[in-house]
Amino acid sequence: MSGLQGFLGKLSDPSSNSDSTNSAAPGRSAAHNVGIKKKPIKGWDDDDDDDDDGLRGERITQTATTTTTTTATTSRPPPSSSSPQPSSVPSFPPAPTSQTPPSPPPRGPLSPLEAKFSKILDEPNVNLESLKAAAWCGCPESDRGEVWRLLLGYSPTNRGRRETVLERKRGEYWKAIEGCGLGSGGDEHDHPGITKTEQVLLRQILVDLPRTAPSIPLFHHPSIQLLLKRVLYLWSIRNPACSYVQGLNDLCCPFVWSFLSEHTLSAQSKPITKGIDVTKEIPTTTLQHIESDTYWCLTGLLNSIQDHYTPNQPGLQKQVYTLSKIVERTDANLSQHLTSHGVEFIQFAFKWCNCLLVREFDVSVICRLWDTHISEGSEGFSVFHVYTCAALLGKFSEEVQGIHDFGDLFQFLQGGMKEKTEAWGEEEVAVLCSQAFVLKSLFQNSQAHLT
Amino acid sequence: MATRVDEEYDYLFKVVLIGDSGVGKSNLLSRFTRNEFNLESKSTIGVEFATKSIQAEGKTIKAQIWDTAGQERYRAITSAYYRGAVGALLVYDISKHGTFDNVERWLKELRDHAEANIVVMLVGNKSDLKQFKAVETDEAMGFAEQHNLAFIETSALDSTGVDTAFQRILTEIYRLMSRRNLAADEAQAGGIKAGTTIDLNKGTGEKKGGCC
Repeated sequence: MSGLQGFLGKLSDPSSNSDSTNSAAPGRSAAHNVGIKKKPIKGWDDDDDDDDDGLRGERITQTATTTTTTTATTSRPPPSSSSPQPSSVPSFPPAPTSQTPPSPPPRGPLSPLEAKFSKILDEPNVNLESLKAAAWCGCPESDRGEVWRLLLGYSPTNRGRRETVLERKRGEYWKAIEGCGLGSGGDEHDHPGITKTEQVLLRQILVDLPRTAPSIPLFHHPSIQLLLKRVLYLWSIRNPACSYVQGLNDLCCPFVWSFLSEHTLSAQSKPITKGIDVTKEIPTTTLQHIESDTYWCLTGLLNSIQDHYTPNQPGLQKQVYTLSKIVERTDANLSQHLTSHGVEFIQFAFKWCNCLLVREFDVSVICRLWDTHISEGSEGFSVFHVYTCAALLGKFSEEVQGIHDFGDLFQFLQGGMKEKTEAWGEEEVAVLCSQAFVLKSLFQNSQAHLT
Repeated sequence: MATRVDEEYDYLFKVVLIGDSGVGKSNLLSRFTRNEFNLESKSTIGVEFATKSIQAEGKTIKAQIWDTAGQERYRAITSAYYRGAVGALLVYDISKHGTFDNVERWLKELRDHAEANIVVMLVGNKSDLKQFKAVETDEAMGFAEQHNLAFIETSALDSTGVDTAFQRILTEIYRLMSRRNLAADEAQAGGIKAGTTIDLNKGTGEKKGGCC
């Protein structure tokens, strides 16, 4: 495998793509420079005329669907960003592509990267392939929220319909929250409307909430804790085959972070801070939108990896197994080193796959990493992720091979990674993604090599 | 990280930390091994691991402690770590009776997946939350006696009982192991003492000295 290692080494040379990913043109990371094209992912793209908004597997409340159908021929309500009222679920007619969409809001001076995204996002019908290609290399923070909503199939590509559809989906969320018997009360016993099983579920969520991203005060703000509680609870009761699994709370964080960031940048022209006072700085309506968007986007993400969280977690176990096989093939020394010291992949990579690396990186870095994953379509977290893990392990291969005590090895792989990635920026993530892409290109269609 | 020479030890004992989620298993481990406590540490996903060596009856015992995730969903993963464990700290939260009610289920987990003669200590954690005490000491002690478990109350927050808990279980394991060796000798001579109830499996306590 020396050829591959040489190739990967070359890719990891910062000089080879030092300024490519942040610039508007060509804006390509190393993977694109090597001329490997990504296949369009089937079965994930949001069909523009599809009322389902691409969120397959999600049960939409009967009431909401009925309302939509019966009022579908009425005139289009004006796009509004007002607070979603569960009682007034908006509707929309099919939007002809030739219509003139409302003008996009004016934007200040844009960086080249923002200009590039602006061009794609301001189209009357967003071209998802162009968006994926651009987002693969990282989104500007100001557009990340919108890009994720589009790529996760929640927001429609047609700009004329976007506000209306989002408003409807947001309304559906709040209606569902109203119907699930969850108030804003304290512990699991404060919700008399819920069953015994739901109490157990709620207890588990409540135990984990204060332990979500402990180092970031924003996630401990009462409004955000309540937001997380409702999102996780609703997702869990609507997906009983999985229900709540510890670590799902971590998966909400990049969404909340990105959507909040989108708001602070557009409304206040300042980046989000970890200690932001949500009550003071974020209007209630915006927070409600962020909550429902988090729910729908989390749903979109988890739909592709449901078997990570069903009993015995088969999807996750398979991913860990695949990871061990990839490393065995690409870095035999590392693989042997781990084996000879009694370290099993399941012992550390389980968390990597369960929490999708959220615990291994700072929240801003994980958002950038997820840009790529989400751009990979429905295979982003079910397939591409395992190659990212392999690339991550490869990045620290030498360091890991320098540790010869089981405890120290375990410590490094389990928690030490976060310290190492603390200073990471765009460039390191771009290299990691490129390496993951190369590994995927090599192995994904040669599964026999991974058994 | 530089290569670290293994410290010398006479025995290596594998111990697991089990119990409902949120009872403070990870903090018990971090308090014992690193003297650290974090009020809002992250939930454990899968397992975590740490080691610490202690002195017991003139011997150096290295404890290899596996901290497991408490959620039911992770049982399939975590129960694999019971294999080879000679001790288990079964932790509940003294301020949440539900976590004590589940102790019996955890004992069953051990019966199903761990070695038959594993030494189990029932640990009532968060003893600093006196005003919220929901599980009386007598109740827990009675349960422990009934099920032949050692018992202690601890607070990972203010350190009360933490070192004692680990020290006691490791010493107990060591004593039983010595007694087992003695019993084996006696068995060879033709008599087994009736009181020898715990027979640690061979190979669990590995005698080792110097670096690898």
